[in-house]
Amino acid sequence: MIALVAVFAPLVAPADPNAVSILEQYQSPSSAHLLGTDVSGRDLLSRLIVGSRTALIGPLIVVLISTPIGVGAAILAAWRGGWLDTAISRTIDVTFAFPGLLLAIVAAAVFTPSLLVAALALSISYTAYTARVVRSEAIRQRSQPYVEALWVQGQSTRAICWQHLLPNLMPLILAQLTLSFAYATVDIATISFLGLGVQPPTADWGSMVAEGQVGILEGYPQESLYAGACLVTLILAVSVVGDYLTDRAERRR
Amino acid sequence: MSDPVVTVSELVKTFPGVGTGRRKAETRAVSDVSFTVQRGGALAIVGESGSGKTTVARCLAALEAPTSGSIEVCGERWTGKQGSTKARRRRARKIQLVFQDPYQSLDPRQQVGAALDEALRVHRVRDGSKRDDEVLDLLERVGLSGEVADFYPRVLSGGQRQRVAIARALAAEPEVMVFDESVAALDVSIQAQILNLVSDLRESAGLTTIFISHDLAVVRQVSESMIVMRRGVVVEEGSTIDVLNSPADPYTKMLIASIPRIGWDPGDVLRAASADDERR
Amino acid sequence: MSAPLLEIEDICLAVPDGSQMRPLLRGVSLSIGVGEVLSVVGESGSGKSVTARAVLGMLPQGAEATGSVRFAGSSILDAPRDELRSYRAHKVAMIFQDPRAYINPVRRIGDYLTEAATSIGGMRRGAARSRAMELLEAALIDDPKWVMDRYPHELSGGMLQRVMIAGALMGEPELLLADEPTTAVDVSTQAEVMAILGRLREEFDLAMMFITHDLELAAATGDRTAVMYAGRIVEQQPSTLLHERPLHPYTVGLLGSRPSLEAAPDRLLTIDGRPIAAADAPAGCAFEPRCAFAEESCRAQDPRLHPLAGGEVACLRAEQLLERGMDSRV
Repeated sequence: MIALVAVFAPLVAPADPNAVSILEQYQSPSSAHLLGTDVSGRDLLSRLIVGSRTALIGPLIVVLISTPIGVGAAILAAWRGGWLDTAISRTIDVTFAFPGLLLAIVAAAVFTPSLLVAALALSISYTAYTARVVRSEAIRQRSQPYVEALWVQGQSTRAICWQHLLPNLMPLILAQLTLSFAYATVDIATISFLGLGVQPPTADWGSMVAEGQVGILEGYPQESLYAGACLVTLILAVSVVGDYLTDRAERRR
Repeated sequence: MSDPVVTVSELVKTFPGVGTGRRKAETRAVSDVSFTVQRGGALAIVGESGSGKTTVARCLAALEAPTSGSIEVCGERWTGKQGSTKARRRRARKIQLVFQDPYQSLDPRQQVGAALDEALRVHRVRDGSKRDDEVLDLLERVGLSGEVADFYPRVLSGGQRQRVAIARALAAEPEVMVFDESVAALDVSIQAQILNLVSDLRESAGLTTIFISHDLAVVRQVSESMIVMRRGVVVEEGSTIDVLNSPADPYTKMLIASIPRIGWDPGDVLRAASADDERR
Repeated sequence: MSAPLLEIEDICLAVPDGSQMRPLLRGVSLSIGVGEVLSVVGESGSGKSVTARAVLGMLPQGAEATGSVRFAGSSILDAPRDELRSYRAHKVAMIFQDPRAYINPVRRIGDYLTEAATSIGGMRRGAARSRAMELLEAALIDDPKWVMDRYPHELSGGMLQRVMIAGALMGEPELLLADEPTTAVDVSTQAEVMAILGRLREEFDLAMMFITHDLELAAATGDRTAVMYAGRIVEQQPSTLLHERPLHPYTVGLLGSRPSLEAAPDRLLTIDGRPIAAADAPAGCAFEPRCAFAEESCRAQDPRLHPLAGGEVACLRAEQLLERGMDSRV
């Protein structure tokens, strides 16, 4: 549902999300502005709808980058073992020592703050996170007799990894993927909240929470509340879908 | 006429110890084991846990690299590790291993037919439609119906899975099959079915078999000759009937005395074992 | 003969499975006298472990049970909670296949042994410790004091099994339930464990229900052997008799399936198909689909356990087959 809204955002939004109207500052919900307006008199509903795009795209970038690289590194480390495993594990540990949020903030300081920079910076620590979780399971699966049986058969290493190991890791990868997505959503929102991610005037839930702060003090909490509620709903939705996918993958065993 | 298919000489396998510093000592799982198996022969390797019998099986199948000594199968001599895909395939066509637990030795996410198809593809049959026929043929040889090909391992019983595992091993048309405790995890009535299947295959395909087991009655059923291992060393070898009827080594005697039967007094075993320990 | 110590009468047990009830036991009846050993043999899914747990009054979550379990005359299944507690503490005890799963890995052996005696049995700590040491010694452990201070991971599987046996005897039970206590250990360790069990049984005049899948071990251990199939006892006889002259076709099949040390026939006798669980039992005789002697009537009528030739058997054709012999297959 949220994804659909995001894709068709420009069509669904009842008003221009960036149209400023000082006269309509902090309006209550009305027929013209279903959820009211913000400090600059922009239509809140429209901003929420359009904001769903950045809310989805950011974590999506993170997950699309971190999952394949993380899983690939994990399987490589688990299969080859030895110095390669040590190297990959140490890299993971080092990355772990450096909080992803901090990295993203530094990146924003070095480069120009934008959604892409934030997402790319987050991807690094999410890759390490995914790789760590998947690696330990891959090592466990690797010592399973079915893998040894394929090895004895003379099946090639590549086929064992991609046709056998990977499908058996899938439930875990899916679970990890949705978890990453949910966390990344929060992280991106946090970065935007700090003003280092999505740049105004582009609508984003995280930055809306931040902008809404002014309103809270003045007794108009709508903007922060709505944006916050949207974030919570998105994270819940992702978790539910993730649980469903994991269950389904698990049942095929 | 002597026609050895498998010749193992002076096989030694040590594992690096766990722990650190002075406590880290090597474990010698197999020390100086030698045996030969004639073409069409049936050898059993008997021992309790820690005897090194499974390590011998894993060395035969190249899952472990011998620390020293050599293994010769069908005239090919192997000493070190067999890492490359090509080397493993060559070996797989000579010698195959059937694992103990059929619940773990099949990929849970692969249908039976696909698993057999994969084994065939790896080894010889390139033509896809021909492979379909061969899959059915393999299933039939192990006493399963063709519809099993569409099943995932989880819906099969332990006995059926072990049949699939045997069928997969047969796909490579090996000369030698190693069974590592392959019936230990099965119910008694299913065990008998698999044991019969193994002897049928020996007859029909002229297979040479090496059966690893702790169960002397099973050994009696499936082997012509046997070796008894204890703590990595062969303590007795000979024809199965001779060893079981007139064991020479006290450890073999103790193993035989340990088998429960009517009128069995387990206390005798204890007394024999402690007497044996004193002598050592 | 005095009244039996344990009497199970026609116990049926079913657990919820979705919206339906899934049967685990389909009418099990047995009895064990004071100091007597009954071996219970069966393949996977036959219900032998569930039966032992029912004797302890431990039923699976949401289970529905009919029938009765009586210990020394008093009923167990509907006993109030505190009565059940003292029954479990002092009358029956159970030992399991895998001691490592039942002994808390982060506590010392001494604590494991004395815990129940001090908290439930109301024993003083010192008294409990000295009793535990006596029992360890009786279980042929050379240095009980040393063992008391060890953690489970420092002991071998065979040693832990002895510890579990000693622990089971702490409450001075009259009946010991042994659920495949030697399945996971080597044959020589099995002999040790069985020897210890035998000694302790004599010393404490224990009755025992010995569960195993091994017919030879059952016969070597038990005065009588009961054979279970699909949640029911299909045959029960004195152990020697069971081996010489089995009454039920399933027992005949099991005996024939097992390779022997004395002779290696070209082919082992087998039972077609695979063992079924109680829930999958068809109408009529549960063994009928795998039975070489089945007739039309076997499909329609469910045989009950009835006395025959010094034993009990649940087979419609038992009398006929006893006369004719079951050596040759039909």
